[in-house]
Amino acid sequence: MEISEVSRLIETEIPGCRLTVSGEGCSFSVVVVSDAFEGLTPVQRQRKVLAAVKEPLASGALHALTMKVYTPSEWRQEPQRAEASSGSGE
Amino acid sequence: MSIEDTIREQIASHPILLYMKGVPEMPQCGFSAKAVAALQAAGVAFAYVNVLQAPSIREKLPAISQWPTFPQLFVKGELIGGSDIITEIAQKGELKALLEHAVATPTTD
Repeated sequence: MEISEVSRLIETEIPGCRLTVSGEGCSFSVVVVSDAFEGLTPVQRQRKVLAAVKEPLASGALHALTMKVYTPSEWRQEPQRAEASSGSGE
Repeated sequence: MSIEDTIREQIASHPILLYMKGVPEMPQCGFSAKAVAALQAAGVAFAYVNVLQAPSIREKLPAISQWPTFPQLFVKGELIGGSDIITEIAQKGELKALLEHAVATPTTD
């Protein structure tokens, strides 16, 4: 998969989000900032992002997705620690 | 009993249940290893299912939990999340209390 493809899928699912994608092949890290996450639990937020890449995860084109998900106000508080270093699973 | 019923029964009958790749002593994937490490650091016993040994569960669970990847941690029947969230809760020091509370309160049948 290409970074542009991962970006397109997530931006389609979460319109207007602030998105950073890194990685290559079948393992990517994303940082997503959106007001769509307001009031949502971590699971509910990550489900939204995972829903965007459901097909490539099912087909195996995408193997692992590491993610950090913030609301705009959370993002303003920790812009520097936003490195998506951990992982959600494969 | 269908696979879906088996899964629901597993989730309902274990206060802490980790669906993972491999076994705690030998995780087969980095994300499962991280989840196991966080749970073991919390020091609370947990049940697990090695989905590599249960392909039908590996196939059906994502539709039930609406979570496409592994590991998946369930506490008191509720999906807590994947490796990201498990390690994040552990780093905030909230995992131990969550797990201890789960084993302390009987599951209501």
